Amino acid sequence: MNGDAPNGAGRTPIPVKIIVSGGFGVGKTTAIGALSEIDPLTTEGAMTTASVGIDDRGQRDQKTTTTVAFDFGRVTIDASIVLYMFGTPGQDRFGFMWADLMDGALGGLVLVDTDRIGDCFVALDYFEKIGLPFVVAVNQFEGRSNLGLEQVRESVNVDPHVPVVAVDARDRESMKQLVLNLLQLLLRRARAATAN
Amino acid sequence: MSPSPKEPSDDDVLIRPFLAVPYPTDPGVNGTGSHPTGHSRAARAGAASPEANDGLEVRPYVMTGGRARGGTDLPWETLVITSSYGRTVKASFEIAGILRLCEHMQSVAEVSAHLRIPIGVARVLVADLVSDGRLEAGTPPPRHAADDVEFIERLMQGVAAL
Repeated sequence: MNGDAPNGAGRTPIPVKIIVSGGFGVGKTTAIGALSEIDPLTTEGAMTTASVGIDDRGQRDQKTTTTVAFDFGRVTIDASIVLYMFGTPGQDRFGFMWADLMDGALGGLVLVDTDRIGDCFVALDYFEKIGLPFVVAVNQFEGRSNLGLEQVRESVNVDPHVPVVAVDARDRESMKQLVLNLLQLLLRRARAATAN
Repeated sequence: MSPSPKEPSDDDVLIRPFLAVPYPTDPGVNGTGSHPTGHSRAARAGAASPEANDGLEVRPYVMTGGRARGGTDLPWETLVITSSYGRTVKASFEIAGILRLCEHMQSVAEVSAHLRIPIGVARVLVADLVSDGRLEAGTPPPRHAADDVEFIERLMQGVAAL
């Protein structure tokens, strides 16, 4: 039960997770749904009011409701690995729930809407603070984006080794590529660490 | 001729505040796999104490006897399956729901989502059921898989083949 990834032959699958973050409405759940083998599920943080059990859909604007919802999906990689993708609410007041979720995460995907680029800053700050490797992904619905990737990089001001790429969050192949971008980043880091 | 580094010529581009200086290229940062093992603990210390979750969440914790934490801190993606003992023994309503759901392997997060139990409560209940043998926990989520070259390569092959 140390940190090593066990070789899962003949055992239950090894569960791993990546975090999908970004501003409200940027397409996190869409992105998760594009890869997930199940319809994205929602788990709620513990900050529910006394109205437990009452469906609060449609009342999202009520500030009295302090529920924090995390959408997530599941991807069975093979018989030995299951990948979970967790979407985080993009507001820093939920940071205390994030800490719990991030524990052991492989890395993060930060989705960016170029119309509201500042919405992703909280996620970037957070991932940098905890040292979670991440990829910045500019969500391009119908190729719509009013900023080039270089402008986005300038704006988000991330370390040069952080990939800034385009994605269509609705498209499975595009999302696969995005996850591969993240894994390539992890691989580079892991190899560099091993080499030292 | 201002020697200033990069004049933001395009005033449309919002620059992330507090990093207005271009990112420092710290030689130590680039590519080192030093996964900050201490971070989560540190972050949690201030973050996850029950009272930090504010006082509103009293009611769901009735199910856990008021506890916010089980014996073990199960990560959200921990997989569990109902044991043969768990299939036969009688259980209260909520517990029976979990045991039924977990006849097929589920993560703690899925237990929370399907049964509409807040995640913190689901973690406590599932941990209890694991410790009393009604649920069996699968392979624990690896803590440092991101540093494991072989594992990441396997994952990449798997994702590419999806």
